[in-house]
Amino acid sequence: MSTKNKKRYAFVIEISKCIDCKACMVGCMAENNVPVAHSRNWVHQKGPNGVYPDLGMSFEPGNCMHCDNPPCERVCPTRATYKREDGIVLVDKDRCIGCKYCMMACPYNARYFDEEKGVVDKCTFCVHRIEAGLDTSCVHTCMTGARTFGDINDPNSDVSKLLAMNEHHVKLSSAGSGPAIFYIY
Amino acid sequence: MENHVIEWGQLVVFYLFLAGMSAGTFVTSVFAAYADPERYKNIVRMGSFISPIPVSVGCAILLLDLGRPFHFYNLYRTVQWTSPMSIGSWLLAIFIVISSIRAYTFFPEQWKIVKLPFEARIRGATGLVGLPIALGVGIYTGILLGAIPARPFWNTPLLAELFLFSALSTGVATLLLICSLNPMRSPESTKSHEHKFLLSFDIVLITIEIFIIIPIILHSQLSALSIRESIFVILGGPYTVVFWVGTVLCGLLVPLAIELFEMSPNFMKKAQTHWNPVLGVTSSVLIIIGGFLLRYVVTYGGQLSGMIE
Repeated sequence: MSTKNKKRYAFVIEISKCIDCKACMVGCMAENNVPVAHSRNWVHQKGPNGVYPDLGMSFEPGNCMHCDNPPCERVCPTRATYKREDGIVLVDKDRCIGCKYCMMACPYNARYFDEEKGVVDKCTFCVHRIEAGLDTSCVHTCMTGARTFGDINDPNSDVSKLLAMNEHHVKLSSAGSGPAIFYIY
Repeated sequence: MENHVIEWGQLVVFYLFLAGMSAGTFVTSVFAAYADPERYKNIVRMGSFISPIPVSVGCAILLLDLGRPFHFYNLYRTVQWTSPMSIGSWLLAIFIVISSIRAYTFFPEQWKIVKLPFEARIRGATGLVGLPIALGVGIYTGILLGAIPARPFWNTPLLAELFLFSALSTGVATLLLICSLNPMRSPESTKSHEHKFLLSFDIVLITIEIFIIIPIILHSQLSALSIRESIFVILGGPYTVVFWVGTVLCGLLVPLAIELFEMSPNFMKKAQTHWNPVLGVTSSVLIIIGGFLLRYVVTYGGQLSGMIE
């Protein structure tokens, strides 16, 4: 069946490797011309955890989860938000009218409103870079290798190997959206 | 999750409120027409007259709130069954057309530029077709917010019911306000039964609203963590006072008490309703403000809520 050869792009993020340098955010803003005051990705601080003197903090990078069943796509009244065959969720800027309904529907608050263009925007998995055979910008700039990008339907890809070897989680699984960012703690 | 920003602001609140008010006046007008078009002549006429106006203003406001208002036609290039906003925008367009035609049939003869053939039949048809559409407009505003699992404060089916009955109530209140401001009104006038019609309808609606709010509050306390946390915005959080004093006390309980008082002679004996323009204006204005504040609290409060891991 064709589903065998079908690509499904995803991220694997190793929390223990993230040092909160935010290079992924800066890299993304520069690569994608993200308007000032907005960001397509983030690093959430978790903690401090533990009891003194054994305290620790962890950092959790993230971006649009490019869900299997995207709540943003479901609510879009103009079909501006759509999901590609390879799982990448994109916004068609010609169809978007800037109603922001998708921003309400996203459980991860992954979208922002571009005031200048009057449309909603978000992470594209650097589709222009992947199609040119490159890594995404955030993977490229990450100095500790916390982020790995690839096709989870290909058992030989780096992401598949990481997932096969490690226990992993997704964020807000109760939302039922099937996010494509897997976290390894 | 983190960083909550209010993206839907005052304009959306105004729109939700005005669309509901239009649906309410339309439904009241059609109900009155089905009850007795002669006896409730003024309600039928006034309700139909007013109904296209607030929703049209509301839609204009809604367009202004879009990022790209001139591309609004993209809404009408598709029907997305899973998107309440898509269904709603179609309902709105149909509702504005139908309610405008119905309003036109009630114009005084000298205003009518075009004579409609079969006017009585057109009027009847707009009522029949328009009634479900108007109810759809009233209920969709609640589904629009309620069908968003990512905002637990909104994510209850009761929200659709609350918005619908609140919409009907603000519609009735609009007609009560006009009825109260009419200087021709007096207890002796034969139109007292119209006052009674509006009062009794509104008492039922407000009572239903109260019995929708009670389970919303109770259930939220007995529900999943995200929902329990989200109700904080009206139980100690930033919108507590607006909700309990503005919406519940001033918008529901006080007007309900006034309306029950106005109706009381009718309960005791077969007397007319109390007729006091001051009371009528007070209760109807309170209901209208309460309906607005309800949408304000829900729209803003919901955006502060989010799912919890």
